[in-house]
Amino acid sequence: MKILAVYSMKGGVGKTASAVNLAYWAARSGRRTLLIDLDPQGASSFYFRIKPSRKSWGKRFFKAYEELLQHIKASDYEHLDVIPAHLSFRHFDVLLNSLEKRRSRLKKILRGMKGEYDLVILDCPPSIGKLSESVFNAADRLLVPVIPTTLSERTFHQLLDFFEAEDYSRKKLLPFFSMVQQQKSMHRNTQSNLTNGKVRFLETSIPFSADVENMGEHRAPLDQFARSKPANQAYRQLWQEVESRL
Amino acid sequence: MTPEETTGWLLNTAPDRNRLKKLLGKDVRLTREDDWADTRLLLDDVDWQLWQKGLTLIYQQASAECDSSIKGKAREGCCRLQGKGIKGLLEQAALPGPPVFWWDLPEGPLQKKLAGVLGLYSLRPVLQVEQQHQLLACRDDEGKILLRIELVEQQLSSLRCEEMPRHHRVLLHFHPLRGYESEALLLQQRLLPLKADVTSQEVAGLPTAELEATEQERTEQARTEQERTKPGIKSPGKKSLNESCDWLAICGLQPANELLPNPLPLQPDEAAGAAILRMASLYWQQARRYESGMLADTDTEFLHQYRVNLRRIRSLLSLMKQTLPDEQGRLLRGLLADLARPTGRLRDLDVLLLEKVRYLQMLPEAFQAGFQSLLRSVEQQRRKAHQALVAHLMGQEYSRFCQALEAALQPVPASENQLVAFHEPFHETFHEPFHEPLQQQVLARMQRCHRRVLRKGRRITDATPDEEVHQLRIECKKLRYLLDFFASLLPDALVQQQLRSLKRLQGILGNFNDFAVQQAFLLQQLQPDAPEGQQAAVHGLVALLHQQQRQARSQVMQALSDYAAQPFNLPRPFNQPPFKQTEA
Repeated sequence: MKILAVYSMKGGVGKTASAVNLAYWAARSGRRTLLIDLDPQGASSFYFRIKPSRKSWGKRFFKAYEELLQHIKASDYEHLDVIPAHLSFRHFDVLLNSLEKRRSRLKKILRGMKGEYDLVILDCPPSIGKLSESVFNAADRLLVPVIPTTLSERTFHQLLDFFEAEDYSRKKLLPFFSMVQQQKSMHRNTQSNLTNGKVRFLETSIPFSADVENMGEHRAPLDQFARSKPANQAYRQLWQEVESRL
Repeated sequence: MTPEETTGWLLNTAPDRNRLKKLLGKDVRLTREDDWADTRLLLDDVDWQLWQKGLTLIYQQASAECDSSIKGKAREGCCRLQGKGIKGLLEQAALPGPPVFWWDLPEGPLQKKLAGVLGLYSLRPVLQVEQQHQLLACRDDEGKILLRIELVEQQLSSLRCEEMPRHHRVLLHFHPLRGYESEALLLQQRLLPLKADVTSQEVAGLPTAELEATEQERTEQARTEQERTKPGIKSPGKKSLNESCDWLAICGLQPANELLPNPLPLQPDEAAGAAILRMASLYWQQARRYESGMLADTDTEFLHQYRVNLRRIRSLLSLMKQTLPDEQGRLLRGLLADLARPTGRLRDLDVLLLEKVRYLQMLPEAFQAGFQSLLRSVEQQRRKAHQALVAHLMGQEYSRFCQALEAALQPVPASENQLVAFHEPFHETFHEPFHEPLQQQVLARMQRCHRRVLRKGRRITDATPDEEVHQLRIECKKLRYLLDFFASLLPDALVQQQLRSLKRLQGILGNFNDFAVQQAFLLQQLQPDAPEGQQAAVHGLVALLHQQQRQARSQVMQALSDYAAQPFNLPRPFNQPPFKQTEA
């Protein structure tokens, strides 16, 4: 079982769209996939039309993997299950702070899933804290969407610095360009700067697309309503590239 | 989700969408997900060996449409074996047309399992199920699927009869989704009126719960409802409808009626002669089941089993010959010899060809080409032998033999007067042993046979000539036959213990004999003007088989002493004092 986290410190970079579409393509490729929506906003769960649990269970999240099993919901797609987010997940940083072995806790919990799933995808909230550190520790690969803008470039460098300071392996990082608008010179220049940097970006980039925004309206992965559109093809290609790096 | 996780019902009729919508309620939206068709074949061999072991082998014919867990993965066709002791073995494989053997499947657990059950038998389709599927999704107010339902219209037809009458039925399968079990249960309950065997009280007591109940309420309610509506509903995740177990019954196929019960049911006090004739008739009916496969040359087991059944009758009549009038016994034995004779040549050639891989492995590479050329000639001879057998089976003489045998096996009327009237010329005079209790005669025969095995066995030393060892083998075989034929008259423990201990002794004696027969047969195949390579290969093989025969011979003494150490306590015969135990 592999653990893939979709992470960015910055919000609005296409984390959830990437997590949803990659989870969809992973399942389509035959991998038994579990998407865990760690973002209390619950956008991934929303895209899959899965309602959050009525009960607040965030406090029990890190207790044992059996707790997680109870909250698994099948999506409408074969091989793809989801643990929907709950508002109580917003306290994860505080909760982890009070626990021992907080860094390895998520990894240990997720290990219990290995009999049932081939791939666990973590859709992470846009922050850097105790939860992020648990994710960095648990994930085999960190998929980082980067919009080719100055601000996103800065955020990405902050992440690299953090990794260096905390001694995390940079090899885990799989950055890729998201919401790319090639007609903008800033996007072209930023891509050029970053691809010549220390960390290798994935070949595939995701173009800016109204179809991705429409996912909220259709509440489904792109392939379900925009099959032939470039954004859908790009996510499919991205999955193939990520799969080869897992 | 796998097909095993579905539950299903038999419906009275196929419901239309409006009826389904009405039953599901306003808080559920019904959408059409998919439609597809597939054809499945139930496979087994002529002796229903899979059925006997509680196994079901279903072949789903290749269909580009079928590529998901609900539809079944059968892009190239797939075989699924289910049943006792196995979770379900699946193999993607396009099978050739019948006959299909276990070795036609790709290597894997399914092939291994089938090899153990089928041996040399071929598989054939027993019945065909054509299915039209309609997959529908029950969605909540946000459009999330809570439960998938699958309507299946089946057309079943037996492939064992020419007219193939079709049987129609409609099934409703439920495909629950993880995390939505309680919703699935509620929706199943709403659909309960569609179920074929549902009672009006069950329908009247349907739940009115909303899908928007709290999680705890839903779970609690589901549990209560499940208990109340038993046995109509089983919780999702457990299979309540075994797809194939009732296919046979629907198509009117009854394997149990085609096969002989083992052991044959016999009464200790029934008249011995009548029982023997009845048993012989049953074995003869079994033998005739294999005629069509012998004609079609489906697999070697048809001829083998035909001969096995003829041999059973001959052995039965020979072992119990005192029960029948001499003339009747002679006539029957003559007819059986006439029936068996034309099958011998083909069987001998079959045995050689079935052993060809082993023989080739035994020979050094330099001799293999020579042996291959002999095999080609044997294959040609086999074709001719089969043609001769077909001519024999289709000929009038065979029909006459069959009629004569069936007439000679007619059951004997109860009274002496009828006996004389019906069974001229066999029963012109009253034949007393015919009317004696069966068990009494069987036990006496068995006792004599066991004593003879021990007596002959005691005489065997390492220096005893082979002919005497062959005689001992025949005596063991007779005892084995008696145990097989009359097992229902004996204590089960005795039969099992004797069969176990005889098995090892017979195995060694059988090998000893087979190696001798194989040597003789191989030499017989060798023409005087055969090429040098062929002669070298055959002589090489004969030398190896001779070595193996000597090896088997060296094990005889130990096997005999092991067998002689076993007790042989026969029960008290009907109305008779018990037999004295044979001294080992």
